[in-house]
Amino acid sequence: MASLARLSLPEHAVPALARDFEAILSAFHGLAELDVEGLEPLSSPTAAHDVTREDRARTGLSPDSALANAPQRVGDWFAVPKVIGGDA
Amino acid sequence: MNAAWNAVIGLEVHCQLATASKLFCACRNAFGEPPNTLVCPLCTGQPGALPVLNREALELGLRAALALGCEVAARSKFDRKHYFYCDLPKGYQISQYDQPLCSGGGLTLATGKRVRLKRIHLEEDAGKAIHDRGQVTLVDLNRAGVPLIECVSEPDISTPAEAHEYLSALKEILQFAGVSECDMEKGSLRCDVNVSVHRAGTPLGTKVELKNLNSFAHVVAALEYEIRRQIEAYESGEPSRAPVQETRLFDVQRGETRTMRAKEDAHDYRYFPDPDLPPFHVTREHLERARAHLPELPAARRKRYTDTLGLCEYDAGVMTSSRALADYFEATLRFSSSAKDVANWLGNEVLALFKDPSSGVRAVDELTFKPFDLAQLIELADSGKTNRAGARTILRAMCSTPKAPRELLRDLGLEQIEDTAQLERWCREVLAGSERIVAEVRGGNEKALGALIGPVMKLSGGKAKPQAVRDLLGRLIAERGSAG
Amino acid sequence: MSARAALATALDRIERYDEDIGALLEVDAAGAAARAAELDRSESHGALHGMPFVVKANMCIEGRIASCGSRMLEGYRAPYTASAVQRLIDEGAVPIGIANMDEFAFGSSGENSSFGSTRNPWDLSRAPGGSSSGSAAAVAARMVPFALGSDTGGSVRQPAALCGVTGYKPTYGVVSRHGLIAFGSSLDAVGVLATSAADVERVLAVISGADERDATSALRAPFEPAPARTDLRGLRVGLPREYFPADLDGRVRQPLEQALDDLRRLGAELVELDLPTTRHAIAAYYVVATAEASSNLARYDGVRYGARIAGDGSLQGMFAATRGAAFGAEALRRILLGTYVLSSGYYDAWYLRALKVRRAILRDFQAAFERVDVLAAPTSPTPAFRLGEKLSDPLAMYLCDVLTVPTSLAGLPAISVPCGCAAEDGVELPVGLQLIGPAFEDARVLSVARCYQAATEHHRRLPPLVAGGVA
Repeated sequence: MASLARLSLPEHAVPALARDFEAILSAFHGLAELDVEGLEPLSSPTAAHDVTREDRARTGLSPDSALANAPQRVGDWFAVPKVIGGDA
Repeated sequence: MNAAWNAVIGLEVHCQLATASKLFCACRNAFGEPPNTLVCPLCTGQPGALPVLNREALELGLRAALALGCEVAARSKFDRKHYFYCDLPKGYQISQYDQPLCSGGGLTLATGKRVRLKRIHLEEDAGKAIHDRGQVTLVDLNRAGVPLIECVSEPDISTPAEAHEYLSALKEILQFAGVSECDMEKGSLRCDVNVSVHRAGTPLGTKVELKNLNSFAHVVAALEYEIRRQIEAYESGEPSRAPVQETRLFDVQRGETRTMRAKEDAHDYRYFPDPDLPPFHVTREHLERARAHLPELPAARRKRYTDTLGLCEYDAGVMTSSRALADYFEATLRFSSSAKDVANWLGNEVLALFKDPSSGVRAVDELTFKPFDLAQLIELADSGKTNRAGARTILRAMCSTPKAPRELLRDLGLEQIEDTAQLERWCREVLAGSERIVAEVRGGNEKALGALIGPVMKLSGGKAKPQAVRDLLGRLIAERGSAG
Repeated sequence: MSARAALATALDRIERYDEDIGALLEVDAAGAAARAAELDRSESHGALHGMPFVVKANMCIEGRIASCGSRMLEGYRAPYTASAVQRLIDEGAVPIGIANMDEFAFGSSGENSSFGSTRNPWDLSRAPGGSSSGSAAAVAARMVPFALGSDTGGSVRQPAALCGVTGYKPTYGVVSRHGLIAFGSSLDAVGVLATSAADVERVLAVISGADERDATSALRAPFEPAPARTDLRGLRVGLPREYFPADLDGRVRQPLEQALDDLRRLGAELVELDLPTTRHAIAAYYVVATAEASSNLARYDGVRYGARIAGDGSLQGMFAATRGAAFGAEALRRILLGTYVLSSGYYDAWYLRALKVRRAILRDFQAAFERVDVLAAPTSPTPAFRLGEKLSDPLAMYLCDVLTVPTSLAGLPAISVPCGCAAEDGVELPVGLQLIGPAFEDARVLSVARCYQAATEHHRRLPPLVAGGVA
């Protein structure tokens, strides 16, 4: 799970996290008890549907404000460690 | 004896939609701008910014669905697809998983073979990562959030040539429908391939995915290589060589494919419905509006050009090679009586301009003269006011000045010589110095006459009508014979 | 009162109390002073002219800190302003500071902030509740007349209850989420903390209404307060048995029973009823909320903003190192849990099942509202607990939310109003009464709360720390 979520966990933290994880999941096993046959999943309580906007372009952020919080910047690009083939 | 090997090929084609703004934010949808100039809080993944669907993107998706005969879903939703990469600002891509915009449909190849579509769905593009500049990878988010449709074919394709034909046809339809520019060079059309091989009557082989195919030629080359590789691997009989389920990159320089990602590290995308985007319903009104905006598609146009305009198959094919050319052709026809002539001029002279860098125009949308001007020019040539060479010179001039063809004809002095007395003087002058050829003609070698036309044309400064010169020379030779 | 005078009062109280309480992460005195002076010069006065307020650190104000209480976003300055905040500014309210919170709104005590715990103004050794800890504490200490918070599973109502202030979570979609940094997108609501329901109404009237930048904001007119009611005659108040278990903490039960008596005295008819799915709500909530959180927190990857830790030098290594080190323990737990319930092979049993349970919970509420107009319940199972008391047991912390998450799953409007205090170790600890209404009946819930507050004094009580200094 940690690698899927791109979390490199400090070794000493792993046992406690694993323990919590197990405890939480087992406490939640009650979910399986309720009869949910025929119930439509409710992924959001929103009353909205079919919300669209007009296709009109507007000016957004300047490169400077888009990059203002960037940890590393080269010119007007965000810069990250060099990607070598397959690092995707 | 074993049955022959068959390849089973499926294509996933991504097309950028020709909208003014991005799929979920109002940033301009454009190519080739300076880095990070077409961005906003949403498409740079700033916390708290929310997506709102662009309704034109939805309409273009529907138009694609109609053009390809797909079944449009009454209700559709967006899902989040998770993976980590530097060009993906939110850590997920907004796409459609189990309720795509449409399913089914397909297109028919020239052989009559049908390639079915599995589905078409809407999704957002990622940004662009540049790896070849310096010690870091650079990220530009101008492309992040540009609307895409992904067209997924069934594995109905059997050869690289069929793959090429399918892609060309798909591109043509989407271009004509005004859905996408479909320009591989600008990345507005991209293609991934799935391929496996098996012997007829035996189970399907292991499927391999190919990426980094930046032109139709690459698709063909990569498929040819990969099919050969897979067949050789099976025929070697070595279990270690048997194809595995993986993603392979096409290496353009070497013309071969190599492993990029094995199945073990296949992504678990953890799709779930995007809570920021309420579901949407495609109503009959939506479909009718999309249908009303759906232009006549290339196959229908070709048929009309041959059946009612009398073009040959070849010319009809050339005229429908792009939507822009076909529209220009039809616009010119409104001012011209001969479809054949217009097709001839567009297909030969105008297309030649695009190939010649000195003309300054590279595509139909860069032409500075109007269909009316082209029709006028064709009429000047047809009525003999100038010859083909003169008309060609005028056409070239039309690319750089706003003057009308008639004006250019006069300004450039390209009117054909109508003055017969002058023409006769030039002919006599040439005949006088060409006794040997005259003798040949008189000896029955009609073709020798051709050698005399050029010098007369030259004396006329190119303004004489070649046919008139030929007629006159023939008459003069005959007269001289009877006189002498 | 002039905007400058209101600001001076607020800054004075912050100066006096916040060193002890630690409600605010940043105070923008200069910016607020400039804005107040500008407002006082202007001829037209907005609906909230000159009212100072603070904003939870998960709402964006252009150029200001929006750290979400996390090392991950330490120093992050938002490049745009949240819709709700913008609407307040447009009506003359003056943002003066950024309030502390549990990291990414994960927590019910305020202790999960990377920048130190906020303390409860009623007893500095206790937690103010969370996750809108700083917002609740700032209002409780009367530093500001109101604050914005966010409520995903009770994060406005629970700290309001523990700090003795009024906390409101509107119907999902009534207030735009644009600019609210997402935790659980289908649960998040911008909420208001104030000293009375009447003040909540004034603020809600400004920040509510459809927003073209939030597709889930309901396409309805802005909120309008219902006419004042002098009593509650004709009102049927449901008491869900599941919210009043036999072992309910006596410190909560007593003030609450008094509050129910008050409601009855005001003419309301009290009806006991069942919400049988309640016992599944915590599990369903934590599955849905962590699933969405794991997705919403995927963007913190060290590329465009926030922390970056190089790791092994590769891109993916940088992602993992940054995320592993810059997220706090609770964020890590929730991301892991959320990743798990969405991953292939577990999706159906966990995430999809939780969504079906969520539907069942909504149906329970809908059935209840066929019989009654509002529901009444405690907001929190206990009054303020001691700092550190539950920190080592995440599950115990999750159970703090048992009374607030069902309404969040159903997207319903709910308010917590002070209904008295429990005495413990010689200090008074506030207790909250929760009133819940059907979707989009925000005006009903608020008018009942307003009527209750007109008849009672609990919401006027001040924490001893500030009682002397606030006129």
